[in-house]
Amino acid sequence: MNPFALSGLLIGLSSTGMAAWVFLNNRSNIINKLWSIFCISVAIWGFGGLAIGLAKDANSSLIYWRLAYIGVVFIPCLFYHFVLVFLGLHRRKTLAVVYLVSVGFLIANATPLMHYHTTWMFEQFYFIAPPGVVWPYFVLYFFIMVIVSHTELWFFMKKTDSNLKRTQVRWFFMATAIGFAGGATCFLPTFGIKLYPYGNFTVPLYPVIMSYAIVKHQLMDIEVVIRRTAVFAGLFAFVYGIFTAVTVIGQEFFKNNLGWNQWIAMIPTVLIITLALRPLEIFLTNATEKYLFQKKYDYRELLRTFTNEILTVLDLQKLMEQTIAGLIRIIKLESASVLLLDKDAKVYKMMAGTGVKDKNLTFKEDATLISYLKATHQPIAQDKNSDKIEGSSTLKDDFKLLNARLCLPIILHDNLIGALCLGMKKSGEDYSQDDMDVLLTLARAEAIAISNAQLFDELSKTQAEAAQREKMAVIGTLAAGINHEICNPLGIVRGQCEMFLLNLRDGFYKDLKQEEVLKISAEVMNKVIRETDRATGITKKLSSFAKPSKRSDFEEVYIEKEVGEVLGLIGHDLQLSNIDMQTDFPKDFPVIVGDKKQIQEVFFNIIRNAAQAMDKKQGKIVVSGFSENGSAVVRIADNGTGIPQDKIEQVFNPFYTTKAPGKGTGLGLFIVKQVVERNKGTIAVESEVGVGTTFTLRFPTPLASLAA
Amino acid sequence: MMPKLLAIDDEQEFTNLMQNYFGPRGFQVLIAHAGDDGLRLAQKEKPEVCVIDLKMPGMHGDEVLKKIKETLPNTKCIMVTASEGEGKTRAHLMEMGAFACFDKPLTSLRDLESKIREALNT
Repeated sequence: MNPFALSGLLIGLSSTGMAAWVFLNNRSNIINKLWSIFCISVAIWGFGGLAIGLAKDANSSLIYWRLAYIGVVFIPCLFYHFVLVFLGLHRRKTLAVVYLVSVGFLIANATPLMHYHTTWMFEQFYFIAPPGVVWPYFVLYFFIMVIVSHTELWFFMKKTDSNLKRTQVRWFFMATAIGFAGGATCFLPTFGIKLYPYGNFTVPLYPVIMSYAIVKHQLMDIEVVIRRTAVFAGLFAFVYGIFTAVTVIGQEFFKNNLGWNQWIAMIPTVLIITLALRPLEIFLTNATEKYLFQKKYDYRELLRTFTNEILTVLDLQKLMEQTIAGLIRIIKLESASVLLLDKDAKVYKMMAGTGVKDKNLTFKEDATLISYLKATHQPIAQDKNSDKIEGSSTLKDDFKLLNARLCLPIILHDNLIGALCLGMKKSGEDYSQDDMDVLLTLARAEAIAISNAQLFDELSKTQAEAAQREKMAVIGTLAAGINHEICNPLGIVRGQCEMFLLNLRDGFYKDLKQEEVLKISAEVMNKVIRETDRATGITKKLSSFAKPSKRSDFEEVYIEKEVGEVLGLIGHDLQLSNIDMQTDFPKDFPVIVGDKKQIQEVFFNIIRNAAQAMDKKQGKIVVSGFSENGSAVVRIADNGTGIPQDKIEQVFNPFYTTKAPGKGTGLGLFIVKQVVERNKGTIAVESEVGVGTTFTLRFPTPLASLAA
Repeated sequence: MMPKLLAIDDEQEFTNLMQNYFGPRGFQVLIAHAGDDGLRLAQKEKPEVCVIDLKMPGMHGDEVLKKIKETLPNTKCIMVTASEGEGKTRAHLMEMGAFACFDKPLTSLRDLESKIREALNT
């Protein structure tokens, strides 16, 4: 066999193998189909080349050339077509023209226009020369299509945002560029350039490189499945094969060359085996683990992603969605969904799902799948025999609805709170015991994460309710002060009017001129208006304060103004308690973004707390503001009793209070902290017994940084 | 001699009203805006009747009542309170020697006047 025939054989075998592999991997995908057809057209060239290399006479060689060219004429258009589909480009008309051209050359191939003569070359085989009339045009067409296709690939690589796709295209580009460059050497001898087409040997490299790209970078979305057991079986067969060979050859060598008898000859070989077998086995096992199984899917990545990112999500819905997205992405699943127990409705409800038709699926507690998971607490695969499990549905239907292949129970405190339902792997591989082990661990962690998220959800709700209750309680204690603030103006209004009327009736105005009486009445009315406004202002402030705030009420907040509002509400109370209230904000105090009402609540609570902590004759509260490192800082300092150092850690804890029973709920500062944090701020407290307490609040100033 | 009426209230408009109402009706109206000031004025002027607000800065109304009763047993004190008119507060004030108690806001100047006249006549 000459080298040309050998290269043809290699091309034929490698391309056929590649075609079969890609096609069988996913028969329905157009990319896989196209690539397989392309490989087959290359394979036809390869096997044709083998026949040409082995042809005994000129006539039969000419026939083989024509047969080989049935493949060759379609290489340019199939390659171009594949590239377009691979890159997601649409050039239907161009493509149609290109196919027509190829068909044209196919017809020409059957006539002497393409090939009419072969010449004995390199003293090995018959090569086509001189060329037919249209043959040079075919070569031109061939190169144009190859160059155009590679240009498309090149520009795609420059443009794409996807790293994976770029890597894939780069490998593909390299594989085919090498293949075409080598294969093109076959055109040269026909043009009279007498170079042996050794370049043909690079053609089989393209399936090799492509295979690598598929394994390593999932080219054409092919997930390569290398079965652990099969590989290790092969590996050990290989290792033991070597040692069997060593033993046999060694025994022969020692017996024949050194004249040892068979038993003595065995000693060195046994020594070699015992000393080298184990290390070699370990080395190969490790190497295989490292290079072959890592791409399967990375358990470490799965666990890392889940423990670091997903399982710490406290929003239940988000947790569910990220769980599904994570599983789909890392294990490369076609579908996945998660069911969660709805305790009130007593159903298992789909919370998130991908690749599932009905995303609002619910399963009753007596559904077979649920019954099984409840009874066994074990994962169940689709093909599992479930005859023993009674239920209202068939397991097969349940799996079908979920588009699942494997369902894992999510167990918390021995109760089934949900299920992870995993669909088929994109690779088509079955779930292994390894998968089950990892996934079951994951489901256990998921149970804890779900429970955390549910608790957090409940806590948030309770917290919001508690905040509102606290506020109402505060308003209750305020009632006296507010009553004073409203009743005083009303009393004055009433008194002024009554005074005027009684004075009029009792004749105190009868000696006055009309203008003087009018002046008195105007004074009365002015006072009525002023006092009415005063009372109205208080009620407005009160109702706005009492209203629960919505979550999305973020807007520009002028802290100094909100502090002013709060003082309008409780200022009088402070005055009555002999508390000197001072505020000190610079003119350019930064604006923050937050919830106005919540910010008011914060200052209200802190100032009121400070007032209640006064035991001195002359209390003092100073609210001052300044900006520091882009933050708006507010200090609320009082000269009250102070908090002992061992208690200071607890002031933000819920239900911590030093007040007498019934006087405080112990939620005030707890809520203050939550609210401050919800408004992206921080709160700190310093205190000294007998000297006073200072709260320091810091809020980011997004508007200031925007302006800067 | 015109009877002296001392109004002690931190609310200026209220004392103003007292002045404008009782002035023309034959009273010498004295005014104080804080408890301790009122007490000093009472001790100096020895008014026949005092109208005292309960909630005040400086010195609370009940404290003023107590001190006046200690030093000027003949001065009648009429308390004005906005503290929800609680029976308890009222009873407590009466026990301390208040002549009468009125709720704030005052519903009638005439009622207050008749009570003051009643106080003058006893």
